[in-house]
Amino acid sequence: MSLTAHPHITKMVGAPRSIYMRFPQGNLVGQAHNPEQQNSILRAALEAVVTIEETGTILEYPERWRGALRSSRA
Amino acid sequence: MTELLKWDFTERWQEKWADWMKPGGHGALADVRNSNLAWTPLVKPLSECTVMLLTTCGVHLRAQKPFDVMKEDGDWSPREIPSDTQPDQLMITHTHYNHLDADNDVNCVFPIERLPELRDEGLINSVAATHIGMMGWVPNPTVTVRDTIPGIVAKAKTEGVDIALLTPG
Repeated sequence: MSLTAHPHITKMVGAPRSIYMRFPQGNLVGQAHNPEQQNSILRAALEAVVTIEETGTILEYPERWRGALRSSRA
Repeated sequence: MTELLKWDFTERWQEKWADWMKPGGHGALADVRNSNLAWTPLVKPLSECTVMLLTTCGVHLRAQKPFDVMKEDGDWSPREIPSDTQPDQLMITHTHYNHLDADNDVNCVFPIERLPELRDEGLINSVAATHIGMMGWVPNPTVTVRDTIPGIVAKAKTEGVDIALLTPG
């Protein structure tokens, strides 16, 4: 199971099970010091291993990034 | 969650992709794709599974050799990270994404503290003894595919891993 920020590239390269995260690179498992959000993402990824039935499937995580808590770009 | 069916390779992304691939562009990337997509069905309930983290976010133990971010073809060497490692024993060596948040809380990209919580809840049976850290800037993944991944798969089988969760940077 893979998380991805770039589903079109994941589709081109090919991966059996993926979840598209509308989150920025560096935060695909959530915001810093937000264990509830991180827990939810991890739980969704693991549960999707059970629900995905066809190779190449990309699911879309329902929550979108809210960037206020992201650190400044390097 | 719903399946993502619309993943248009937009003109903007086509241009970016072409730039990545050309010599002198972002890195003259080798275009390596899976000709066949593997499918390994889950043959037991999630609550009986052992889970390993595999990340390309560039995380490694502070005591380990950092990834070589200047190597022309990329650094495809993996780092074994004991799953009982404390976050302050970890660091990130990667120059191709913003990891400021992850430097403060590595769980942003490598949920090493979250996975045991899901085990304790009973969602999964166990956490693998070893997680794997890699650095995703590998312009030519030929050796990654040929050597690195089979080595990781062998390690995972040895440790009884049922599910590997891949997290990019």
